[in-house]
Amino acid sequence: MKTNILARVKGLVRRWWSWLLDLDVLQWALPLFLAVTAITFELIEHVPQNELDDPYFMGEIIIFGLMGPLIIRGLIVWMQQLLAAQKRAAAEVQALNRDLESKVIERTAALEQRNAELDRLNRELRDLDEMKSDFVALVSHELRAPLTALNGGLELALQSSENLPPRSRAILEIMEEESKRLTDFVQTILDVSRLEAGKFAITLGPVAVRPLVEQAAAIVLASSQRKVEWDITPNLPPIWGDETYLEQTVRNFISNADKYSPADKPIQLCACMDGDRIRISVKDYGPGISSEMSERIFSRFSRLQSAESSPPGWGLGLYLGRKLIEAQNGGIGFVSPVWEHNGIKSGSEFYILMPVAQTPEDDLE
Amino acid sequence: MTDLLIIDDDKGLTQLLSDYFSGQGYNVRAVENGKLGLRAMYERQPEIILLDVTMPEKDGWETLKRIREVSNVPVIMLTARGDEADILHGFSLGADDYVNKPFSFAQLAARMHAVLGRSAQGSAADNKLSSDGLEVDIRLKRVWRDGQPLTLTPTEFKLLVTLMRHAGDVISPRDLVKEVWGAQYASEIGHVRRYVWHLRQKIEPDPENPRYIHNDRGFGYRFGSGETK
Repeated sequence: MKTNILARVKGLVRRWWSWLLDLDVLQWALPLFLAVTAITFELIEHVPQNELDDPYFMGEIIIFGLMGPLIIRGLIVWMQQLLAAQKRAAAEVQALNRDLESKVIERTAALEQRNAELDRLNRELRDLDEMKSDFVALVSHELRAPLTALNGGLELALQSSENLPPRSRAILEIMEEESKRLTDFVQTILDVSRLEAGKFAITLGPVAVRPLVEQAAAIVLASSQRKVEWDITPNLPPIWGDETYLEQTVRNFISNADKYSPADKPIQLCACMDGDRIRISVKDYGPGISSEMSERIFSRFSRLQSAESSPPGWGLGLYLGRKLIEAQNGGIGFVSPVWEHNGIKSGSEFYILMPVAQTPEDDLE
Repeated sequence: MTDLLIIDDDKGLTQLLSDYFSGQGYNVRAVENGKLGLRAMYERQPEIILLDVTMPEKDGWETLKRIREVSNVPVIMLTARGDEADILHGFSLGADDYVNKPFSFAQLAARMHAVLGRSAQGSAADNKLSSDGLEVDIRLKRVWRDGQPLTLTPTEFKLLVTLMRHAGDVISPRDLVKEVWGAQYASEIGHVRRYVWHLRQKIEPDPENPRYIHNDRGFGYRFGSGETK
């Protein structure tokens, strides 16, 4: 019972105390308390001495009994204003935070939606690309069977070409040439679609430079009268690459140089060190590469020349070459013009830059 | 006269092939599907078969399987599908060679000649080399070590085959260059050292302590077991 009363008293005191500490109450209670205390103190001090008419008594009453409490009241009001300003600022910050949060949520949702849209579009593009590759592969396969019959028929007909009238023979020879070109095209299309579908397996290993370049030239220029100028640094270390696809790219360079150069001009085949890589290049005396062509020369269906009189081609060889060389960590490029004669610039140089095969250090002969 | 059976549904092509190979001295019979092909094989017992892969009813793979159940006659597959997986599938079913369309008739004739030559010698074993867990299939151009396939470049493969064919003998770098690259590169023997080093990285379980390719210092390289001299 006693404890209960004590607890109630404690609760009452705590409530009163917190009520007193409330600034709204304190702003009046404290100055009032100070005024009453100061006046009481002054009265106690001066009344016994009968000094109520003393100007000091009046002065002390004014200073301690009125001015002091008024200054305290002013300070409390100022503190109140400060606290109110802080509360307002905190409320504003909170409101800003809420606003920011809702904006972030809104933007994130928009971004997620856009990402989902992009994902969907990417999937569609991939599907379309796969469909295109499948279509190209299908068409190419379907073309290969009739091409076999076409090539074979022409081969058969031309077996005894000496018995044919000259005109018929000439027509069959043109047909054979064109049929071979179409065959090459179908093969290139298939290579490109395989490469784009990631179905090309690259086998890296050391590749001796001189045999590579000489073999490529021998194959491309087998039936050509083209003069070749060689500039291959002796004892070059082997390249680190895929010998089949390296040779294919060099063959394409040589074939282009042969196609676009005047018949009486040579082509130059060079190989040398270029920094820590090996540079293989093919220079020609052709018309060179125009500036508008230079930006898209390694893109699909980019022909070095587009005039009707230009040599035949499909504009896929350099694109395929770039893809093949990049897949082997090599670089590919060109320089044009290369030559200047009587103020006329001409020629182009196509090159590949390949890493050197690692050298054995302790493998002694 | 060599009996040749052509199984292909492309009538135009079979007609031209018949004309061409008749002119080459073959006794040719052409049929248009696998079923007729199997019947013709039982009746005629051809010495070589050209078999198209893509055909209606019984396709080339199915036909080849049936042929191999009863005969070892050389079969060359003709196909417009040039994927490596297809080629390996063809060989795994027992095809003797594989020709991609479009092909030249002269090229096909040369392949047939080679296949008939191998068949006459009964030299299937010559296509395979093996030593201490290393197996090489020359026709497939494939190498395995302890059953695991290894990936070699064509030149590395040629180098390995050359060394294996002379197993136990020391071959000088100059002779190796001559055999692998050709006599015109005999002065560039620096290649060999690098090629052998890289080949060891690919085929040896521990290239620092080679199991297969050894250096005989001052003389050359030797394939086979034994201590390095």
